[in-house]
Amino acid sequence: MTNFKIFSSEPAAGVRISFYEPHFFDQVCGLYRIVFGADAAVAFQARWNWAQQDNLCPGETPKWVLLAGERVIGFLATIPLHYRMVGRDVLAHTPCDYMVHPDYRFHGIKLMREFFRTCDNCVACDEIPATIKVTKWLGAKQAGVLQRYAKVLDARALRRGRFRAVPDSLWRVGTLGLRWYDSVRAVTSGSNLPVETVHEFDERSDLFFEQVSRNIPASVMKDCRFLNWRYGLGSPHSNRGIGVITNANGELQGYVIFYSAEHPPQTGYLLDLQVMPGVADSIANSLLNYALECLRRSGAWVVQFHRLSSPHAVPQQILQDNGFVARNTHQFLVKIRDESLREQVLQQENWMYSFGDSESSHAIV
Amino acid sequence: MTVLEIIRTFISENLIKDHNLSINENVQLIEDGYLTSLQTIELVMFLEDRFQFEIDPELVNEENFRTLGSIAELVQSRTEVR
Repeated sequence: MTNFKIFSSEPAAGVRISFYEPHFFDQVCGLYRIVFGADAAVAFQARWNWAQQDNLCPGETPKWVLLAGERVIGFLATIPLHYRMVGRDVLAHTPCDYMVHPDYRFHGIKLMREFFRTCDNCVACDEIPATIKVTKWLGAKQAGVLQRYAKVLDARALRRGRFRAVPDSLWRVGTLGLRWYDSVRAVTSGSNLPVETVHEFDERSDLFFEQVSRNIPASVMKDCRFLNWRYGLGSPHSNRGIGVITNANGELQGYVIFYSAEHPPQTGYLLDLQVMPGVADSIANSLLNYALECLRRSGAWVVQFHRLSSPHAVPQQILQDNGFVARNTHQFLVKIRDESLREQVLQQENWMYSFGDSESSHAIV
Repeated sequence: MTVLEIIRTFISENLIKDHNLSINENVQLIEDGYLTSLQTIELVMFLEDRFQFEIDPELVNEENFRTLGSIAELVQSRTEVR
């Protein structure tokens, strides 16, 4: 990363950008409330320490405020992560919690420009058109698309419009039918391999990542340290579930991480699902079944999974066979300073990337 | 059509989407909230495409985008440079 600017300003405008300092915190939270609403602001405050102070590179976590006088009217934070790109360890930043007061929306460009001036490498996943447009204009390229899939677990999720009048008893029957279908499919497709529940990641995931990344040109450095930070204490998803499948030697063959949102409508998220390259589809199928059953028990009505279309992701066919339906997309954006890496990291088939790796997943509570 | 008229037409037809709104050369586009960051990027992309030059991100600031007149000046100065 280039040196952080302590302060830069455009005095002609009266709106200036400044490096974030702790005394801005209350104003930043207040701005978050104005821009994203009260519930989102509570979640933002709750994940602050985890995201900004206790991340894996706390000394490499620049963030800025926009000031009109002494008033904070904009904010942009970053999440630094190590990536394995073409065999090399590369630090890249993700812009996050980007916001500008509605009366000062022109000035949002300044924050993003400061981000790109400061951070050599950027990896971002976004669905907000304005943010995508600014990010691309400042040089990031679309490296791929994360397709969101949804699967209904509880038939009441379909209760809308003319179906509102359908009595509860029929919805219960529908839900039982969905459950029965999944159970039968698990048996007939051989997708009922034993899945071990674990509470945190251990050195088996280091070995797993080393083996997987040999075949994959680009990925977040998803070792034990990353996984235990991303899904550990203080994380917005610390009450996630984890299931793993191991071989006869106790080596990890795949894992799934899932989370049930606390706020209605009851939505479950498959934040990560990875299998060792070349293993049978029954591994991914069994992990998927295990997660779906856990989410169903936790009360989720719908489950979402975001898939980057790459040979290193769970095959699309598995999702379709399990009743997942394609919905909207997030764009996967990358900017890398080192030209020798660019060609490879701008191709989505070279990536292993999960929704849980992205900053977009952090706001889910 | 002059540069100013081309910019005015683009803003009123594509960004503000109010054909009846008269934006004169001196209307404060940023101060009065006509241009958000997204709209500015759309305008920049249009200008780059229409006038065949690149606008450095550093030039996208309040001074250059304050009014229709200042945007037209920016375009003219860039096209003259070539």
